[in-house]
Amino acid sequence: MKDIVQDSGHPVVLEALGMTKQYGGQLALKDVTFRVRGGAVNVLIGENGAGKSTLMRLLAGIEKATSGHILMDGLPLDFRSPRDAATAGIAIVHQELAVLGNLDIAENIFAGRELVRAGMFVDRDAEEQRSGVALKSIGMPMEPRAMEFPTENLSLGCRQLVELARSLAHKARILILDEPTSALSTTEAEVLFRVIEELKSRGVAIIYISHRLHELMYLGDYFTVLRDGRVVGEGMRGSVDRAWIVERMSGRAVDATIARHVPAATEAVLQVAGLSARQSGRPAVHDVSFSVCKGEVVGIYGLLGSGRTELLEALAGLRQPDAGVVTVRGKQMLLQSVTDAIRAGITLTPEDRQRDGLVPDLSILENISLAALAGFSHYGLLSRGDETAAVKQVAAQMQISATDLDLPVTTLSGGNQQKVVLARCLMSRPVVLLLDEPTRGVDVRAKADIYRALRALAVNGLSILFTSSEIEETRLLADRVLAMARGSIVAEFPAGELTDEALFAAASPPLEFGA
Amino acid sequence: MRKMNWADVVVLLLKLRAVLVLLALLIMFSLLTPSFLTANNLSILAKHVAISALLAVGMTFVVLAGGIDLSVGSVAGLSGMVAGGLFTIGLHGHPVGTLTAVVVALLVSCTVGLLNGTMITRLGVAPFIATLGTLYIARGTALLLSHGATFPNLAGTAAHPTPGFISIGQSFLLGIPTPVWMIAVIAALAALVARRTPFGRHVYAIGGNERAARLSGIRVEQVKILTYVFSSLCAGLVGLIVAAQLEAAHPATGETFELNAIAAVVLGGTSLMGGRGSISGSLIGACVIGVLADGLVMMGVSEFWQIVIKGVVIVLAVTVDQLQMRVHARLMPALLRSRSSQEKVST
Repeated sequence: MKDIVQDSGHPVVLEALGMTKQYGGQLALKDVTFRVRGGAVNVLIGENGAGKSTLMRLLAGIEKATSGHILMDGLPLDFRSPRDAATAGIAIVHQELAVLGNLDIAENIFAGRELVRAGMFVDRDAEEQRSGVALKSIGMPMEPRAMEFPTENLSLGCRQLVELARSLAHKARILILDEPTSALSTTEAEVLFRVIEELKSRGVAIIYISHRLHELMYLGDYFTVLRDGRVVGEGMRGSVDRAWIVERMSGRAVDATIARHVPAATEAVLQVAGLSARQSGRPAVHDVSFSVCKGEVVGIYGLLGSGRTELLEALAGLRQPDAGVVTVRGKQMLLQSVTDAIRAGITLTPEDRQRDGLVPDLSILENISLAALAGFSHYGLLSRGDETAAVKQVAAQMQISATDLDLPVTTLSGGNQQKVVLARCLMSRPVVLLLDEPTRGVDVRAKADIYRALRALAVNGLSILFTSSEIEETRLLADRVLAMARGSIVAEFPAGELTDEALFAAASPPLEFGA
Repeated sequence: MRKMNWADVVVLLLKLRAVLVLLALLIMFSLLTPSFLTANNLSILAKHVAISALLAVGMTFVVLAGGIDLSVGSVAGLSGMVAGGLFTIGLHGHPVGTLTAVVVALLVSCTVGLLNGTMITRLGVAPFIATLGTLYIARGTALLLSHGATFPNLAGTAAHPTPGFISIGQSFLLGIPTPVWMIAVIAALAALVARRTPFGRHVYAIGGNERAARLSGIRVEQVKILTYVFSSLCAGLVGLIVAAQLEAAHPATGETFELNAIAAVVLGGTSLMGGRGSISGSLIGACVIGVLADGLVMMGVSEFWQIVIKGVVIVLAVTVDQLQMRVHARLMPALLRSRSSQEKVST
């Protein structure tokens, strides 16, 4: 099967030819040829570990290829540092945003390349003026005064736009976007898509990496699929569909359907009444009431800033609520600390597993058993045998693929790391499992594993409450969906009555920018 | 027996680097100075090492949990002065028994640790600042107790007997000095706690990722406070040992001890960022510093050069530590391959 990419008027601006990269004894890239076309979105797809990030690090000058070379406009390039790549007009917006939170917008845009006058003083006026132009060109007009806010006060979506503005202010011709929407709500993502269209029309070449297929289908002009460090498929808009992508990515057709069961109408395990909570002084959750039955999977669909994360944090004992009563199996819960919540049977899988989930210095095994150590101690000493046996059982249940559970948790792929965090939550034997974006930055196959595992747990009587900003995920996983906007639950849909349009409309308040 | 490939060997050698350095130092000094390997010198050496090792063991838990304790030297000074004051002045003019003096001195020490821990966890003061504060507070209090003077004659006089006190620092058991026994027992217990108890695992988890630890239901504040209390307890014990050895309590005892303790911890491979390291590493670190100091004295190296050499060794050790992490990361693929091939063989 040969995939043919024809010439369609977009000039090739960058060619990476025969790129090979070796780490220690392992080949991360094998003879990969990748052409980037100007004025178009060049999509790069592959599961975690397929070599996408490695290829991007080579293009951005962060690492050097073992062999192969890069041509720009037909001329060979030799990058010694990211600075060389930036000078050549290649900019990268990282998956984990590289915004300096303590600096303001203008300082961020010119970080490392400050405009100076008299040879030594920062030219603040010129920086603000040029920042303003760059921000305006991506549809994010800012008052000059707003540029003095530290960027840590901005929403994630805004911070990402600041990074984009930084690339533009430095006249990037090739823009690499690595999972740009993984932290964005649908509305914020739409702003990003408009910006991408605008950049395309100006001839900028965009390299776009994402796991979200609907986005890729919507945005992509050219498609390159990587698997195990090799190019396994190339195509262009019109000749590519979802089945084509999924098949090449995984090497087999992935079955995304999940066995469903209809939970019997049983007593409510979790009851929330009149819950309100704040986020840095401002109301974030307002008078929320709902309940979850035994074995039921309830999805909260809401955009960033809808209060979904704050709601879960309040239930998990991380955030003191202002008002409200939470009962678990008929017993009123103290919402004082995480330890109280875990004791009552509620545990949370956080949204950001790097920041809130994993302990990088501990092994896979030690990460999984962390919340349940008391159960493995005899006379105060841990029993390694009991611990290993229990962890092995949960690891098998979650289908964690690891050669050795004693290896550092950092040797695992993103999908397996997420399974580790989930396994830890299960080890504390929860009655209600809270999941904040359960599959963020996880590849398609691990996603399907996680869905299947969660479904199996629900069949066995576990109540699950999860949030998601992906409509598809919400539809696939939930028995019942609550739409959340501006801190309140604004609509409720049983699984059968859910339509994408109705859910999206209910959860979408007008777009707001700024702090 | 597991077959090792070259990557395993490199990793093992790097892991054992502190032990190798210690062995190299021991061999070098015994060759260069004939009196180094005598029972008398080794006994003196062991006593010195015991003191910095005791402080280092306490410090290790604090550093593993992501903190630092600068107050240990001052706490050692304060502890000795409290015991000396109780023997010399007594409580309300009444003489005080040895056990009471020792217990009160250790309780005062623990109080400083409690203060450190509380300031850091409840009030959010940075560990460096909080313990810098108590470094001055404890030292000042030690000076105030005697208006800067020394409490002499702690071997006991007819008016102020101190039965058994000096044996804390001076006695021998089976030919080995008591302080060495103390550190052996405390270090063994500490290693057991670090490796085999939920508390130990919690300490590593907090140092590795405090937010994740909290979300796992670990009582982060409680664990951190306990690490500071234990560090102060070790420091208090050191103060008593020094006072018993000198048969006097000086208010200046323990100045810069905290730096030696931190140096030993770092030499032993414990990361100042927390989450990585071991008790055994700190013990070896303390031995390296002790052997180096003792050996250089025996060789007649000038005191000023000794200070310079100590600094160089510390910086070198941390540089090697960084290098080791990079090498380890680079060897990971090879290590993984050797492990998975092992598994295929075993199944």
